[in-house]
Amino acid sequence: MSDPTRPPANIPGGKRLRLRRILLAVFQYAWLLATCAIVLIPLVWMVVASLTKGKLLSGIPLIPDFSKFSLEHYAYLFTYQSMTGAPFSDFVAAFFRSLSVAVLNTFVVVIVTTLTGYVFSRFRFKGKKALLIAFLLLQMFPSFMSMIALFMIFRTFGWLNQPLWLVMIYAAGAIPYNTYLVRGYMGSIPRSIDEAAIIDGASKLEVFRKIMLPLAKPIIGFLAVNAFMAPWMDYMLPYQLLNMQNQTVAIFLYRLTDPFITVYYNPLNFMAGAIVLAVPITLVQFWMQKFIVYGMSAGAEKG
Amino acid sequence: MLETEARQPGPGPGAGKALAVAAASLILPGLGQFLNRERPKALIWLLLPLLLIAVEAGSSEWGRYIALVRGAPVTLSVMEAGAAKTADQAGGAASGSLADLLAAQPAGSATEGEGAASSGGGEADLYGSDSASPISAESLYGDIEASPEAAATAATPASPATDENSLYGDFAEGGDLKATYVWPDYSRNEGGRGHLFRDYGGFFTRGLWGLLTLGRLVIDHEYSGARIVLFDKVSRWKSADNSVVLLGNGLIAAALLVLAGFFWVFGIIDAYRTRKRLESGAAAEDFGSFVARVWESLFVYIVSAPAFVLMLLFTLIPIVFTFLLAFTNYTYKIKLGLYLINWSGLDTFKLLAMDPGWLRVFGQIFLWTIFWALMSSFTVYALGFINALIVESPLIKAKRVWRTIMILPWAIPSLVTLMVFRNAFDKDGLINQFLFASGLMEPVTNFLFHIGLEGRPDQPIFWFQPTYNGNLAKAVVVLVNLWLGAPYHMMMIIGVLATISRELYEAAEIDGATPFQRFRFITLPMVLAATVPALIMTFSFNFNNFGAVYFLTGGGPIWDPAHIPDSMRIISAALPGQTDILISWIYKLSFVKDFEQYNVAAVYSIIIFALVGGFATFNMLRTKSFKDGGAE
Repeated sequence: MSDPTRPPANIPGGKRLRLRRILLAVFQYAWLLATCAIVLIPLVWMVVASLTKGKLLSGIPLIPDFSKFSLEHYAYLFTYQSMTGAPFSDFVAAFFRSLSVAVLNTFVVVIVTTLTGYVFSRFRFKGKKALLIAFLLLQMFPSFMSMIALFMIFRTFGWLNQPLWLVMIYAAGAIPYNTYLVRGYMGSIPRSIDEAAIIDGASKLEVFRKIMLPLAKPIIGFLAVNAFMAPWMDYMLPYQLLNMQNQTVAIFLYRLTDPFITVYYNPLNFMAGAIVLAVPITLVQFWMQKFIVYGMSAGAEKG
Repeated sequence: MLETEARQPGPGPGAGKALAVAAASLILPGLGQFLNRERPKALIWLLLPLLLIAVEAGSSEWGRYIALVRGAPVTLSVMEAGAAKTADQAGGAASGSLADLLAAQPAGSATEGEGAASSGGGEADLYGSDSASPISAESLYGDIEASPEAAATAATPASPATDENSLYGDFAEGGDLKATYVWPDYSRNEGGRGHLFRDYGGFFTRGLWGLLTLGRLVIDHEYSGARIVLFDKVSRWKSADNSVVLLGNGLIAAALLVLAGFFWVFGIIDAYRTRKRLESGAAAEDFGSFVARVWESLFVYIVSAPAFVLMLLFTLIPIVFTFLLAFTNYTYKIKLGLYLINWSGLDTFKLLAMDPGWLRVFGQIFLWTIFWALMSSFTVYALGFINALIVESPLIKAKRVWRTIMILPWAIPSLVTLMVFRNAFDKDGLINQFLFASGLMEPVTNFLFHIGLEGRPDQPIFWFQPTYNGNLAKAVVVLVNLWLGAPYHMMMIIGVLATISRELYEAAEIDGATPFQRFRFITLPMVLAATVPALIMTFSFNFNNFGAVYFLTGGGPIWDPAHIPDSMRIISAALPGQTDILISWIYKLSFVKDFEQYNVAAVYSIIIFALVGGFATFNMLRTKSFKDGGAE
């Protein structure tokens, strides 16, 4: 710590000090402005590109050019069908496919990991420590490195080309870390609460449902939003395990930017699709921000 | 002895009885419970073997095999229309029982008489089946000419009447397009032996056979009087073995059997304990209290069972599978169905450890991966820290607005942003346009050239393509990752800042600490202490941050062809690019069509797994929360 014999530095009236504060404020605002510009410019470019005619990136100005304004890329998203007679356009169908995977994943992850976290935080049992270490180790193996095996498993069970079954893989991948988080969180809930409930005759599941779950709401919010987000942007699993008729929205978008697939290649369509997809997801993230910040700091502290 | 005791349960003390019921449960799950007079429990455990048998039977050809061994009327592979109608006067009851199994077979069937004529054949003995079996396999394969007598005469091992066409025959009589099952004729194999589990086995037996052997037969092999084809829908034994399928199914079957085994053992223990209690004179436990007791004592395992099962199926089995692939010779050269995968021991490990070309390339990729993981983690953390401090600075107004804008990159799905950036760094993309429009192209490209990032001062700048721009591409990858990753750390650190007590700062201020000192001695240590685990996680994450490389550069630019070791040219398109990190190279090794090196990819996967897993586990074990929690 600083030398206690020195006089306080912030005696009011120090002219130099005020100047320094102003300079500091200027610097800080400049920094923030620059950061925000760097953040926003690519996003603005995205929006401008999505509203420009044609299929070439080179024609896209930084400042919107209203003579080239067009909604054709959005129209493409909502009308283009590779198979005639489908109820929705390809993009909309892919979007709803991803949405259903995300919603199901949220439920599966929340139910499975809160139960497991509860068990790991409140009970002693044989093999607990070994299981925790095994969890940790297993999650270090990225799922797509074992893609061939996953493919075989899906084939065996007849789940290929069925998007909802992907949830199994997502949930399995999410269990270890989330179990740690829930366990850490529930560990901070005083045991006296559930002990009192048990004395009053509550069963273990009742303790879980009526005491732990409501108290663990912040961490559950975090689990839920993470589980909801994960499937949207996964590319590998759907690419390997689903055919084109059952593609998710990430694959749809990727195809639009792949110059080797000339039928679909159109970066401007991609920009439009990216915006249509990103807006709701971004809103959800902001809406759940409270939980996420909470969970991140919990993760940071509890590891 | 135990069994006889178990069959006559009676009152009387002794642990022998308890052992007996345990043995009964060992023989048949549920039997011990039944002997303990616990019907509902017995039913539950009995369901286990029934379920296994149902799965096995439903997916197997054992029905056919039993029919074959028993000599019951079975369908033969008769293609000629005339031969089919003959032997239909089959033996009564057995015919009915097999009707379901053989319903799809319109061709003729052999009679008992025919079977008896050639009893004692090798087939039945070979597999230790009931020696009373009246019919040998050979007789059944003999092409039935017209009558039982003819069949009997044809029952010699090298049946001259057997017609190749009939064994190949996929069509039933009359030429309608209905497939007919053809029996494998083991007498035609060397030594009269066949792969019984392969030909008749169901999910479990065939699975285990495949796991052990990785298959035996591929296209164009002669086997049991037939030529193996890629796929035969009806006579499945004629389909070529697919080693990967066999390995995968075998692992799944083994895992399910292990699970079933646990349940089985649990049943044995339960029967033993119950009996002991009964013998000691305690009252029998009713089913309700049994359920309650099990629920109570196994609560933790039951409640976390879904997690364990999910992890077993979708994490553990795939890992084991990948692990096993490292010990095979599975590469693009093995076209499944045409060739079999073989266990090759440590050959792949040896190649990768001994060959200077592979070693050098791996070394380069590995160093870049480490550098990348360190750089990307450090930069996002540092920028996140700075941003957090500035946004939370008391001099800043409208914090909420700034914060909202600054966390946008985190809120937008990263796949989308990465692909947008890929377009932005295109030759015609945003960055080059911006540089041209602002007149900065000349100085920027000169600058990049002078500090050695760009190989040549091109205008426009080719960010990800030419081989001489490797360093530039690497720098861009780190920068884009910074754009993506800093907000997360900013949010995290803002969260930590809020937990630091105001009083500390006030006390420091009273003591005369300068703002820098307050940062250096309060903020920094507090934030670091709180975020070190997160920083380690970030490092692990970035070490395997596939997306940041693959979706942005695709690993490019490629390496200068002159620098590629000769021993590696063979993998061509699966070679790593200059920005490829280990995991994205593994992806290429696994999925670049026609250049797959699954075994190499598996070896590298194991290396990554050991490194990252070991690192993370080591760190996690040292954390206080784990020690506390684990000790409970």
